[in-house]
Amino acid sequence: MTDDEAVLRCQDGDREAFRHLVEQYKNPLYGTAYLMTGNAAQAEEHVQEAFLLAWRGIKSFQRGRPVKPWLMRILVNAVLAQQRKRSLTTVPLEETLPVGAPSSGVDSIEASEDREAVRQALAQLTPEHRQVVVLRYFADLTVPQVARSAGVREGTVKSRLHRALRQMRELLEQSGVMEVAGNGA
Amino acid sequence: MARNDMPDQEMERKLREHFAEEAPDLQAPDDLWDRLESRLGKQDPPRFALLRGGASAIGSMPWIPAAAAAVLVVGLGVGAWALAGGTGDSGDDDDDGGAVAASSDERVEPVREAATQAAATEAAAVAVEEDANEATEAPAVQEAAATAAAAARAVERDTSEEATPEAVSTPEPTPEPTPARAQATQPAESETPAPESSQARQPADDAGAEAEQAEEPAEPEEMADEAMDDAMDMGDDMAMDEDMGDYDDMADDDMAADAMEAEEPAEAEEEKAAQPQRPSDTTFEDYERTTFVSTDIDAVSTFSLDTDRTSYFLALTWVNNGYTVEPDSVRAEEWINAFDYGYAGPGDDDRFAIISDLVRHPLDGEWHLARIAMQAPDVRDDRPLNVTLVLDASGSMSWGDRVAIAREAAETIRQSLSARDRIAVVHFTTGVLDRYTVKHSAPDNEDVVWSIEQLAAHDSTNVQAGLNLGVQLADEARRERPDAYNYIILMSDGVANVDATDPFAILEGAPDSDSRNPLRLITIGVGIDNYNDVLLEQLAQHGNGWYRYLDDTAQARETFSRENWLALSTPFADQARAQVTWDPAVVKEWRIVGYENRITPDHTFTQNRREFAELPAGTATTVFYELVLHEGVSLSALLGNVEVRWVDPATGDSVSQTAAVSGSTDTPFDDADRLLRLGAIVGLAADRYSSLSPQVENAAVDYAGIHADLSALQGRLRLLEGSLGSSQAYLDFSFLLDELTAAAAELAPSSGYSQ
Repeated sequence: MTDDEAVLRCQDGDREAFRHLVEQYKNPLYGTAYLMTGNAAQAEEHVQEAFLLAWRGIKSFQRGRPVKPWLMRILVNAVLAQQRKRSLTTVPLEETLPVGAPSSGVDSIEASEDREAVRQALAQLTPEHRQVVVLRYFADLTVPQVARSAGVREGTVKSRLHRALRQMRELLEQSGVMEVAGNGA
Repeated sequence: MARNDMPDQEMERKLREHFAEEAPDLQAPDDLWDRLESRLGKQDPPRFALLRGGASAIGSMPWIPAAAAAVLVVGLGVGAWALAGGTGDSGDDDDDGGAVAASSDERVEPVREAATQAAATEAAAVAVEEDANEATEAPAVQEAAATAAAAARAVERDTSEEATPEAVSTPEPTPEPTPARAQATQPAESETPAPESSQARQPADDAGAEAEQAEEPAEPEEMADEAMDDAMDMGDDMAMDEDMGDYDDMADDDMAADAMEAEEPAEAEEEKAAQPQRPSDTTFEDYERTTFVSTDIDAVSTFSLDTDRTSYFLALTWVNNGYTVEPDSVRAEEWINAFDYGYAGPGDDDRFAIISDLVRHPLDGEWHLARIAMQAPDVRDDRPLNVTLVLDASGSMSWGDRVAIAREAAETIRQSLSARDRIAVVHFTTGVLDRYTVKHSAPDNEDVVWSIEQLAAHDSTNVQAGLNLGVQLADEARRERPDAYNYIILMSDGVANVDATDPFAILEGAPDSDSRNPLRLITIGVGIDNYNDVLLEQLAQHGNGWYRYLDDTAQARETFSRENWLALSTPFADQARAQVTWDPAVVKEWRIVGYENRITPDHTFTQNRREFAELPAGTATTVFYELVLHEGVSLSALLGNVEVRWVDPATGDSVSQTAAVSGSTDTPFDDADRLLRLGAIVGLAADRYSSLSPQVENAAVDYAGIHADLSALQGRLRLLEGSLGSSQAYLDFSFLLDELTAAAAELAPSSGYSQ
């Protein structure tokens, strides 16, 4: 079943078709939510909420449009709102956020160290910068889609991405995971 | 190699690889669907239904004037946008409010079988209540019901105090989106036994426990909070990025732009998916758009003043929730009047400041744009208030946090009242829920507090029943305290479905017989989907009041904070309207921007009609006219005059004030005052967008022209970024205009138009 067929059937109230969409997109949504929140329970709740909203809006969804960016926008709205509320009462996110998947324990030591270094670098980013990085490189959205999902302008997304990548490079250079740019050139 | 020339691509590759490695460990739970399905409810997804002409008679009426609202504080440069705010002060202490249906005196002491007694008393109250619902006009029956209800209330309160935490169940949170018809079929775990349903006659043993459950309001999802948070965050982001002193140099920017250009073409199609959707089950009225009028035919323009701003905040809420703004929901005058243009006050307490300007039109070099503004003085009145809260407790209020918002607004109003004021509470669903009815009492009366706390979603919606009792109580209070202003505040999503559902029929069913000291009907809208804008707007417009939309609990607190409430509750002008007479020797053609449902026949201008606007103190009405002037008009032109008429609420006297409309014919738009330019862009954007009609085949709609106008207005707005860019209001509107422009292209027919 294509997404377009699923949407059409959903618009007729077909739950199995909606289940198809859920199964299709639950992982990228969950991963994005997890990377933004660092909390599995919260991530699942946000994903459920996003799908609930999607079910509500499916009849007005214009057929032929890709589903994923639409779902991602709904998800990000939910996550951001929750983060803002939590930020008023909890410690800064970077102090608690693992910013990575729970270790599967199968990596080589070197690979594991590299992954951990990237995770730590991600954790050093501000929530705003981390958000656009996750949406762009994990959720694989385009810059305009990231802008729409995050509720900011494309220029803002670009500048955040640029700053985030620059900061991460510096951190990874310091940790030895990446070579210092310009060396050997 | 320069450092900035290469790191991005390498880091991008590194990140993609990293996330690819992480992805297998970031899997959603296998049983996500099972858990999700149980939350979907039993309903089909809601169907988008634009109920054009839902209030049948309204659209065909050639004139429908007046309602007003006060300036909520949209300070641009001079104040705060103020969408978030603190809780209002506590109300002043005063006496008890002995008028409350004997509840204090007849309160039953807590007993161990409280639950059983509560159930029995509740059943009795329900029985009386049903009778009362069948004859809401009968004061004696109402009184009996209120008395029985008060007794039930007392027991209920006491029972609640006795209940163990385990005994009080919290209903499953209900997201905003759940459609109305689902409410009727869903189990009653989140609903109080409805007085007119079979549930009301359950065995007493069950009823007690059910009552406990029912009084626990639904825990809301926080869609509305999120929307406004998003808006605030967006503004913060923009301000931060645009104010960054260390913002990367042009090379960085160019590099990013190059990267964008490289990826955009291939992804353009996918990007369209992010286009927002439309809210469902909403009711708006498509008022006929005004056209240019030759002064040879008609040189007089008459309209009711208006300071409502609901249409703008609805639109802002929608785009922040990922929806497309419904063109029929856009009333340009409410968008214009959502902003505070910082007009100077009149200096006198008994007249408006009338301001006029003329600039070249931003969209057509041959035209001009005239702005006329009427600023009411910020006066205060020491007359006390009689406030009657009429609260929608219908099933649709369980969506999202509607109940929480209404409850917060009601409580904030209560706290903002002074000891000299009186407040009554009415809950309505299929009928009036008499056990929650509290007659006019002091603001700190515990029954008032309790009744507001108990607001919850129940059954279907009978606005007529709620307003009937509200008017009855308000009328009684007015007779007892003739020196007080009388406000009836209806809080609802407007989805009336029992008894009268048409605003005129509802108002006819709850008539106000005293025009010298009128009842002022304020309507407060809550909710996104399943929302009836027409009903709430028209009730206020024809109920001598004003209409406001609340997006979240913070906005509820801000809107009715003590400071704002003092201004909102001080009427400066009743039945306020204006008449502009253009000089045919100067003005060739004119067109009013917006105000389609405020335009009134010229001959009614001298008549005092309750449907004209009620203006609270300190509010301003701004109107723009598109003008075609005759050639050869002098640089400093007297274009005509404007007369404002109104009724002084304190004296009942009719008042008139006239001023010239003039300005320089050669002022380039971009040289004009920045706030004038903002208002013009706001008004014209709303005006153009509102003329889109996606629901009907209309070959006459100039989609390409509208899109071009919106794009041009985007450009004009960008020029204001330097002076207004740090304002939240500017940022919000800028985002909204971007969405409108994108949506205009989306709403266009697929054939015959390309961007």
